[in-house]
Amino acid sequence: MLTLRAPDPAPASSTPSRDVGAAFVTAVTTRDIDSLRSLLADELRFRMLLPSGPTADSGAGAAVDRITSWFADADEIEVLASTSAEVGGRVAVTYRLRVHRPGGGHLIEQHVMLDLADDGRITSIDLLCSGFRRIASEESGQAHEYDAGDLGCADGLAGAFRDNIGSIPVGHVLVVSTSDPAAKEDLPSLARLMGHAVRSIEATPDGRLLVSVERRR
Amino acid sequence: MSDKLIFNCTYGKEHPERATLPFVAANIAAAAGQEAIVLCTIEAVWLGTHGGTDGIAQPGLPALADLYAEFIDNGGQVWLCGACAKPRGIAEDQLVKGSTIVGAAKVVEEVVAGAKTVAFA
Repeated sequence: MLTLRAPDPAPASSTPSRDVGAAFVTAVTTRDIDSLRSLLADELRFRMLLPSGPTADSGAGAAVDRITSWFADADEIEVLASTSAEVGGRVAVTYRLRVHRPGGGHLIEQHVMLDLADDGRITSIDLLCSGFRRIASEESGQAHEYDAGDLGCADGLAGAFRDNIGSIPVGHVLVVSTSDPAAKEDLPSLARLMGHAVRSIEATPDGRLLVSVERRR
Repeated sequence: MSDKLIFNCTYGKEHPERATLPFVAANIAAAAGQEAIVLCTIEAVWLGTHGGTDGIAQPGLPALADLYAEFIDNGGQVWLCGACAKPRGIAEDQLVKGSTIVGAAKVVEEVVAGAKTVAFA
């Protein structure tokens, strides 16, 4: 079943170029081919630095085909974070996605610089891609969850984390959720100091941080 | 092995000289290419917030707002003690560029990895 989810559209920007950036993200993440094509100039230059190496496409059609091919097998695309800003006449766009594919969940992040023509169409795209990174906590089904709430280092965070990681078998993963700003920096350090392995760190749209820790001892 | 230099700062507006001196030393380190951090605790956590350095100027020392900006431009970082920021109601959206709220474990991990701490004022 195909399910698409995306956050509510960003508030209207005062600068048209940022609107183009936001529209680009929406078109890519909702796989809206017509909208994506309408944003691109016919003679588009598309340069990419992918995990497999640098490559390039010419023309809007090739770019649409390339981008849609990346997400063709996704059951669901969730936008975890996105930004769009003008930088000296170019448009800088970033987006981090959680992509559910038949083989499991993946994170992917792309950083894009756009050049626009006078009519607002995109004339060139320079794209840097993280590749599809498998989400550790979804690999084995051996993930456990602990919501640390707003506990900080003076409120017993270390003890609570130690008790929770100690309650799961060695080799399993504890996904710790925190909203405390200091704990966001502290939890990975705590985990490493206690001899465990930090498998992934992921920000959520509501401002929390999910830290996946594998119990090592 | 961590090469970080961590300069403690515990004072804010109530003691401009003590608030400024750690930044003087840390800025020297950052300007010299060292990985420098000012660790702000107690009242110093306000220094990493919007307006937190306004008006802090000890005669004979640079205005702290200018020094702070120069330090960040030189690659320095400012860490704000989370246990001190929370009871003062300081949230992430109040922080200025270069400042991060951290907890004790972050500092401990750096020190265990070899970071040197400097009590300068």
